[in-house]
Amino acid sequence: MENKTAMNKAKNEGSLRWITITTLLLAIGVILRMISPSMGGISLNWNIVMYCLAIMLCRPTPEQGLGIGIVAGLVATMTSKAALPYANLISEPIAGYLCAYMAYKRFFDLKIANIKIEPAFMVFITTVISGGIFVTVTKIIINLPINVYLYAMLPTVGIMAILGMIVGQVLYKPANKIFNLNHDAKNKIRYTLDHINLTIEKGSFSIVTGVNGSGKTTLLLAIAGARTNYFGGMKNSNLIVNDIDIIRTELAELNRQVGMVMADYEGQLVTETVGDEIAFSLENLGIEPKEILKKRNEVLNMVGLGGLEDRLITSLSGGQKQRLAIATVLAVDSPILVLDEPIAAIDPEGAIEIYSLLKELNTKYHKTIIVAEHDLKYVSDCVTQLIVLDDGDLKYAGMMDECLNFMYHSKIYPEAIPLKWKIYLELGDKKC
Amino acid sequence: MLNLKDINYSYNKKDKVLDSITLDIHEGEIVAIAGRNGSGKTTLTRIIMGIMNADCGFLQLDGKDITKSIPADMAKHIGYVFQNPDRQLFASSVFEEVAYAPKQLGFSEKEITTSVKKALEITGLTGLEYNSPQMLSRGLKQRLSIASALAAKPKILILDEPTTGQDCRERTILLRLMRKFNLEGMTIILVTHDMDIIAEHAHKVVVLEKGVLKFNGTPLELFSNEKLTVGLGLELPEAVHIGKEYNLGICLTPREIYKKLEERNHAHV
Repeated sequence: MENKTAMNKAKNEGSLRWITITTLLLAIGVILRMISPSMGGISLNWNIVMYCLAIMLCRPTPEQGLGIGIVAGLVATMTSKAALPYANLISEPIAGYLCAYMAYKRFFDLKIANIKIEPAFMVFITTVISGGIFVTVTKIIINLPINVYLYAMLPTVGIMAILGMIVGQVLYKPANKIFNLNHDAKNKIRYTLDHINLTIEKGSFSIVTGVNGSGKTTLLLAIAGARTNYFGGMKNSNLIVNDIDIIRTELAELNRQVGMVMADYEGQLVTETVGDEIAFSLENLGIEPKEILKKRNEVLNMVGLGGLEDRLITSLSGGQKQRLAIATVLAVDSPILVLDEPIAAIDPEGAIEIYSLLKELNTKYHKTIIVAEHDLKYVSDCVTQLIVLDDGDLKYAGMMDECLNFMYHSKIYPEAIPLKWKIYLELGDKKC
Repeated sequence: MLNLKDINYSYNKKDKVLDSITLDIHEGEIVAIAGRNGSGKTTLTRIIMGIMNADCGFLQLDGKDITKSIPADMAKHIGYVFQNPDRQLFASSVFEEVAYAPKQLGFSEKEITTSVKKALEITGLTGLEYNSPQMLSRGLKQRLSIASALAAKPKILILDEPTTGQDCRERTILLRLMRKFNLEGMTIILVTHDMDIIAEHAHKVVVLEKGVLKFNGTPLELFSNEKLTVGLGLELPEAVHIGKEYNLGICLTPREIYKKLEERNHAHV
């Protein structure tokens, strides 16, 4: 039997996102630069402000920053009214690289009165670097007098840096709102089950564990087909049980394959007496009364409730009710049994009984068994595969000892490791 | 502080669910009630709470007869946390849920606010005041039930299988909370199937079988006697099993095992 589920997360936010944002902002920068007025030869360098913003929004690697700088340099060369526009081809790539490096390392992750002041710092420093290189290159190549360089060009760079710093700080927040929606965790789609790839062998005994809310029940409901048929919500997934494609199959067909006992097993019992309960599911399948009686006695004997046909269900103990719920599922002869926390609220004696029953069903009747469970101390001698889920991710699936070892060392739900194993692992670690 | 004498109860006047239960619970104790499903554990706690009244027998709280009391009388003294929090929670917000008992008990507006705030703080639910109880996770629901019980400032807290359906992480949080209440002087009555909890936390264990009190003593007394423990439908705690395996004698808690192992290692060195 193969049972593969892959419930995929939507395609990860595109790896080309940084290019899109940078291109857009650079284009806006060019237009703004062309239309903004110049006061006494000084105008705001929108180019630098815009790529600084883009870099802070996407935090690309320094190499990608170099790429952004080269494009910005080309754009500036074509639009600049300066004496030596080609100097931009040197200044912008260097500034882009350094800007991306600073953003990547979060050099200026500072706040004043809860306002992030990183944009002001970043734009200021980038403008100083870019402008500084630009004017220096210009001075050397055109051989301008040192006085012009010191008293006219460098101060201009300073003023442009201050202007850019103000504009950058003001624009950062709205730009972040527009472009960075996906970055907020709350807006990100969080799948209950995310990329679960799992194969459960025929005749195996699997335990699924994980904290509440990690997706255990959802996984079981998916395997039993209830999730897909009643609730939907499966995305980009394949779920195949005994060569049946569960997501695209009618529920009736599936009932024959997978039997499920839910966490609230009492909610699953609908009739008055033990015997009727077993007959109920068989009658629904249109089986002859004679057959039903035979089957009923057979499954009640299997779960150790033989002779209790006429007992009122309300008079049964918790463990007996749980076993009855298992019997109703067995009656349908489904080769796969799925149980959700079968021993919660059951006394220790009942718990041991249920697990020895499940073990017998597994070894003697070759049922494939999948159980969600927190209490791992009862399962150690019957389980062939232990699966641990954490926040919708499958963290490990394998032999019990390997999996417990993994849980212990990677601190995934270590609380569930039975004391015996914990001590064993700790002693092993201390080598004493 | 709580004395039960010859408590009898039956649902249909024929089969006795509780049969002559005599039990004293002292202030500041953690008393665990154990026994098979259907042995009368929950019925006993319900009689203490006044949800049901005993057919015959006496029940005293601090020397006062409470045999015929109703839950409203008891609410001031005893907080009751049901096994299934879904059946206990009804209000539209967490705040309302916790404020219900103090309101019913006629606390002043200010007292209500402070007691709710404190109960939520202790149980780690601060910030969820305006959430709907129904939308909380199972663990948070259970803690909310406890917060609601605490808001009335009871002296005794009854917890009916508080760890059922909880994951191991939430279980640890709940037990730590229980321990904390107890250290602050609260008496705890705990119904549970979990022997590890009993071994580690209870001062006293009471075991019921078919409504009859079969054992009343310390966890050490109970778990030292494997035959008795198993005969009552219970099992030995994991720590006891491991202690035997490593020849450490009777260990009730993991801490004891570690301690004894360390002592042994030192002796070897």
